[in-house]
Amino acid sequence: MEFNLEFKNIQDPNIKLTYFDQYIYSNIIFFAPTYNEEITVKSDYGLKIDNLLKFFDAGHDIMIFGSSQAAGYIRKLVNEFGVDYDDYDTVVKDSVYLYNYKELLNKDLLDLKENEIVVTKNTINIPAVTKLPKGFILYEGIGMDIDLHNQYVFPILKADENAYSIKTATGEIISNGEKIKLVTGYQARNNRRVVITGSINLCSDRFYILSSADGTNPTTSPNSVFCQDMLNWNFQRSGVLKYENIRHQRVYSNFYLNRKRTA
Amino acid sequence: MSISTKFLLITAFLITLIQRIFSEYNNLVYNGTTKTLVLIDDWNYLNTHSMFWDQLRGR
Repeated sequence: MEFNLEFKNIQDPNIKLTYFDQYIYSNIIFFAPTYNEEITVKSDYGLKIDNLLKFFDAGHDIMIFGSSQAAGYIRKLVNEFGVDYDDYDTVVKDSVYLYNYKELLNKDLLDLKENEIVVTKNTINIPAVTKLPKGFILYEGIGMDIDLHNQYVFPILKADENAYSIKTATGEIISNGEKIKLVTGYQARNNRRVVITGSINLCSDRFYILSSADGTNPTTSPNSVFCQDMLNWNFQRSGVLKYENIRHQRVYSNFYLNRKRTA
Repeated sequence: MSISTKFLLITAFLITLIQRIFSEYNNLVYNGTTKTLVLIDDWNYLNTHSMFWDQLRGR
């Protein structure tokens, strides 16, 4: 995977996706969960939700990272793909894993005694999307729900059975267990894909190190492998059907491949 | 070398030069390469997610 990355501040009002009706970018990654306003002063503002949907429909992929501070713009964007972040000021928590999986986790992670970091192995069982993780994937952020009537969206990573989504201000539990989606995928009819997560730290260096049981090899840690799988699927590097060995011939020619048919 | 040949060579050189300037040095002009736009709200993510960016760059 060799992408030419161009970093831009999301608040830059001069961001354009097209130039003379030609798209400049092949993919977009949103790493801006707190961005809250869709700039409407300039009518040609590139990041209007409508413009992003046109970008997607034109055959491009999008990856969206949220967090427990996910603001209006990102929430509105993920809604377009049948995903709904949990309410404002909610966070996914779990502290039981610190005891249940004590022997299997990184000691530095256990020492943190952090109940806003949750662990899970609950990935979707489709090898084209993601492999079964060898260890626990760490997650810190907000949970999601998906529109059950939307046939294009599906969960890629779900929470562990002991996790719960809670409003920090009131202590009200919104959802619990596998009902909490942590990463979701969306594949449209034109095969273009969106991956949405509620954790900005899912693919951070810190989690790459902490998810490695002995902390020595972050590049093969469960979080690293999972993020690589996410990228591969999102950006059409896996799970893509291809024709191979296509041959053309005249309809009534004597040459035809009958080896399998006559065997 | 005749004058017309010189003229043609100079013209070809100038056209090539202009094409190179527009296709390689002006980011706004589509030049056939695919670019990924990363929109961020905090420049610290460049440091805190360095391994993720390396994965994307294929390193």
